[in-house]
Amino acid sequence: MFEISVGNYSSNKTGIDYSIAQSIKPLSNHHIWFIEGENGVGKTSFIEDVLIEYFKENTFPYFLIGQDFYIQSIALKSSLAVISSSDCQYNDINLVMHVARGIKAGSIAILDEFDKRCTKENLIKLLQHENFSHAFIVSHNNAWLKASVTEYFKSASVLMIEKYSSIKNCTINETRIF
Amino acid sequence: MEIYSKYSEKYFILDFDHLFVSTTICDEAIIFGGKQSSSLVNETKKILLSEYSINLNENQNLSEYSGGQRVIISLIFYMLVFKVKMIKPPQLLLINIIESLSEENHKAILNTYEDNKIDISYHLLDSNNYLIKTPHV
Repeated sequence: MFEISVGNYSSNKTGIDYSIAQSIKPLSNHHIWFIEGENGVGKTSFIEDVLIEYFKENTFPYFLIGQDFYIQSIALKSSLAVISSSDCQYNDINLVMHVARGIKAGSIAILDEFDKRCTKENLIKLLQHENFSHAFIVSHNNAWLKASVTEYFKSASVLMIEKYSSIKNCTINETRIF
Repeated sequence: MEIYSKYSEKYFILDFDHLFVSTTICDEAIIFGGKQSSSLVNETKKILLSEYSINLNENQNLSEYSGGQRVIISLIFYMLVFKVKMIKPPQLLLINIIESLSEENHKAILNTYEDNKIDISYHLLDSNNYLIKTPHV
C-alpha cells in the first residue's frame, strides 16, 4: 500500500511547489481520487512530477494516460505494429483497453482528461479493468463519474489543488466523498 | 483526420490535439495576422493577463503551457484574428475544447466573446463524430 506523506513537493519542470496537507493513501483496496483545480494550477505537473516520481522511486506499477494522448497513442500504435502482425486499427478506447490487458495486475490507473476521448460507459469499463487497483482521475466534468463509480470503488476522495500566495505555490487538500 | 475532411469546409475547427501550427504565439500571429501580427500578439496578451491571469510570453513554446491554458490562448487568439482582420467569424467546431476548461473559464470565455461582440455559434461532436450541439455564444 502506498502513502505519499504530508510535506512539500516540487515540480522541476514547472517550478510549482505543492504543499500536501494530508498524506495520500488508499482507504480501501479500490480507491479513486479525483484531482481538481483551475486551468493552469498544476494538475498535470502534480501527476507527472509528484505522483509518478513517487511511484517510480517506490516501484509501484502505474498506467498513465496523458492529457496529450494524441502523441501517446502514436507511440502505442507504433509499438503494437512492431510486436503484432495484425493490422491495428484502434480507436482511443480500444487502444487503451488493449494495452491495459498487458500491464501488471494491481497497477494504479492515472487518467488525465481521458474522459473527453471516450464514452462514459467505456470510461467506467476501463476503470473496472481487472489489472487496476486504484485510480487517479483528472476531469473538468466528473460529477457523473463520482456517482457512477460507487459500485466498483470502495472509497473515493477529491484532491483539490489551489494556489496560495503566488502562482508557483499550491496546496493540496483531500476530502473524502465516500 | 476523417473529421477534418468531413467538416473543414464549413467550420473553423479547433481541436485540442492540433491547436496551433507554430511553436510560439509570435509565429502564429505572423501566419494569421500578417502586418497586424504585433497588435494581434499585444491584444492577446492583454486579454489573457487581465481576464485569465495567464502571462503569455510571446517567445515561449506554446507546448509549455498547461492543456487548459493552451485552449484559452487559442480561443482568445483566434477570436482576435477574426476581429483584427475584420473577417466575419466562421462557425466553430470545437473538439475536446470545452471539456478542457474549468466551469469558471468556460463562462469567462463566453463573456469575452460577448464583450468583443464576436457572435459565434460553436458545435461539438458526439462519440460517433456527429454534430450534436449548437449553443449560441
